[in-house]
Amino acid sequence: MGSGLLREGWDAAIPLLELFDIRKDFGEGDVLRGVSLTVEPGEFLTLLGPSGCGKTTLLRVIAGLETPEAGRVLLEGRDITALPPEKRGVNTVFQNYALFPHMNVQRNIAYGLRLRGEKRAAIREQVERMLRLVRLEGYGRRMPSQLSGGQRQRVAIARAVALKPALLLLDEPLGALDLQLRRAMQLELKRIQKDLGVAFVYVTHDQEEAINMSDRIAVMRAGRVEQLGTPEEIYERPATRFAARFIGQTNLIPAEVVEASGHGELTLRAAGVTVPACGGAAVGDKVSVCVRMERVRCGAARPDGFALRARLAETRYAGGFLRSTLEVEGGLTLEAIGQDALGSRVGEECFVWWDPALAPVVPAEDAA
Amino acid sequence: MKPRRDRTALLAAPMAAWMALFTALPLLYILVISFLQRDETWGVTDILTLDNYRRLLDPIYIKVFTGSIGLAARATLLSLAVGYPFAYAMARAKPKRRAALTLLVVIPFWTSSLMRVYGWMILLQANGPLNTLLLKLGIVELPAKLLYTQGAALLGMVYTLLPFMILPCHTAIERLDPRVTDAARDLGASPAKAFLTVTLPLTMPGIMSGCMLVFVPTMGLYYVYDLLGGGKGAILGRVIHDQMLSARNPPFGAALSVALIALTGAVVALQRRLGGRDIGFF
Ligand SMILES: Nc1ncnc2c1ncn2[C@@H]1O[C@H](COP(=O)(O)OP(=O)(O)OP(=O)(O)O)[C@@H](O)[C@H]1O
Ligand SMILES: [Mg+2]
Repeated sequence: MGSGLLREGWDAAIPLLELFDIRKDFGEGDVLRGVSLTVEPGEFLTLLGPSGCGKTTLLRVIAGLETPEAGRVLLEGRDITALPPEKRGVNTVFQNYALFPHMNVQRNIAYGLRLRGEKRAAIREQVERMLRLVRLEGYGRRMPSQLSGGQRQRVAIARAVALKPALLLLDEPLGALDLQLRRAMQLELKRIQKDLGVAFVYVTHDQEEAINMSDRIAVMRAGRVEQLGTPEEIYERPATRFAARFIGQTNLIPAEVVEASGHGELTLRAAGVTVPACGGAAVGDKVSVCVRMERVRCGAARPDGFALRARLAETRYAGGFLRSTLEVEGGLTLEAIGQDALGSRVGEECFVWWDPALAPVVPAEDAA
Repeated sequence: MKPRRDRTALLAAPMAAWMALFTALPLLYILVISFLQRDETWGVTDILTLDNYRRLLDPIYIKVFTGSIGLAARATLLSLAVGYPFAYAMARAKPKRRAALTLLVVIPFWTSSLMRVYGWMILLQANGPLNTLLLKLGIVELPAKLLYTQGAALLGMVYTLLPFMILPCHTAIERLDPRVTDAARDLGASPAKAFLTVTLPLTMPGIMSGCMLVFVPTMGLYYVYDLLGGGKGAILGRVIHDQMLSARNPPFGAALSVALIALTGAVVALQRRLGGRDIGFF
């Protein structure tokens, strides 16, 4: 299949990559416990999840470096579950770079191109272009051992991108870079992805990076995809407490549904107070109300409609914004963040409220 | 800082003294007598001569050299062919199996290698277990001549020296990050190509040390050669032994030793040059 760029006569309805119920077990407990997802051509999909949840393992399954115990991997509609990595036309930027220590930067980048049997001049040109792309002009003759961590990481990116695969797997490709270079490389990667029409499956721990760059995010936990959606969907409609906590900063208020309108408007009983929220739940359901910290409103005067009595317990500077702790009637504690100080001073009584339409509910207990 | 360095040098002093006394001095002694004339009855005279070295060029001894090098080369290649895959399996095995494989390599060191060679003699003799098996299976009709052959000698050499091939190869393979090979596969290399372009060059230092550790001692392991090969043909270690002890010609024995040391030195130098180098892309 070579490059895997089977663009001609390509049915637009077929996703680029499909995973069906992938399971992987290294003999000491399940690492992947039934992962299904699809990646569209040219899409930027981010895998987001805590350390050890199986992100790297999932990328290795897609690359063909790990054989799943169950499940199927389809690329452009073709079952490639049993295909060896060199025949998949999928390339990887490895978490630990995995550069060839006995080859200089040029040879590292040229490795895949040479295997493909491309012409010398074309290879040289492509290597130069890649070096410019990752801002390492003039470093071509250095050995990997003579590079900094961030420079190695960029060589790893150049080496994988040089082959122009239809699907590129990136395992925390910017982890070793300082903030400034990281921002710049984020833009570069996004541009590469757009220009070449490459689909990215991208692993990061940085939720801001995930939100800024991704078309869709897969929130992973303990070998499963907990939620798959656009950054906005996950932010506005988290599926679980875990997803709610993993993206953005949020209050989760344990509550029980006492009234459901049928239009998604809910009234709930939480710690001795009644609060409104939105979402699909039935009367009697035990849920958590997800109130984003920046959506907690506070003021000295009681507004029209829903509000709770509270006391401003603490306000602290949190880099560019202020974070406040509010002790609410009935024993609730809420955290709020905002650009300006809340209308009240520390120790003063105030009212808190939020827009119920922006406060979705999630199940009270996350599945194991 | 200077006094401290002097103190570290002190740490090495006992070993240096030991080496000087028991290695450098004897070598010097060998070197000196190799230039002396033999005494008719025993020992050496004080007459300087180059005859001992001239005699090395006698076709008989040239043949001893080439034969010894040939045997050593065959033993080395065979050890590499058997040892490298074993070392690879060992390095990539799960901890439990790795422990078992390591034990297999180490067990032979628990008994004398002479005892183990006698074991092989029993195994290979005309009415030994191996021949009995071959007869029973109908593979041969008369007991095959297994013992006292070049093959048996080679087998004995490989058997005795295999651990010295496996251990350095194992160390090199274990140190190689498997993800580097993964990266090669990911970039389009077949398993064979990935091996040739990544695994092999990166484990070359281990291969080189292993080859040296097998090649060099082969020349001196004459008891294995005698016992299993039946003493046909001659290897260098045997000839030196004979010249020193039976033929009572220490100066010539010394010249042979010097030549052997020079040969060994050349092998080590070669290993140094090859081992440290990037051996190229394809
Ligand atoms: N070869 C292996 N043998 C045994 N267990 C493994 C192996 N590879 C990974 N695991 C286990 O699988 C789990 C998931 O590992 P993985 O590397 O996929 O995590 P990750 O999500 O990439 O974490 P991180 O964010 O720290 O990189 C871990 O518990 C790890 O110990
Ligand atoms: Mg990982």
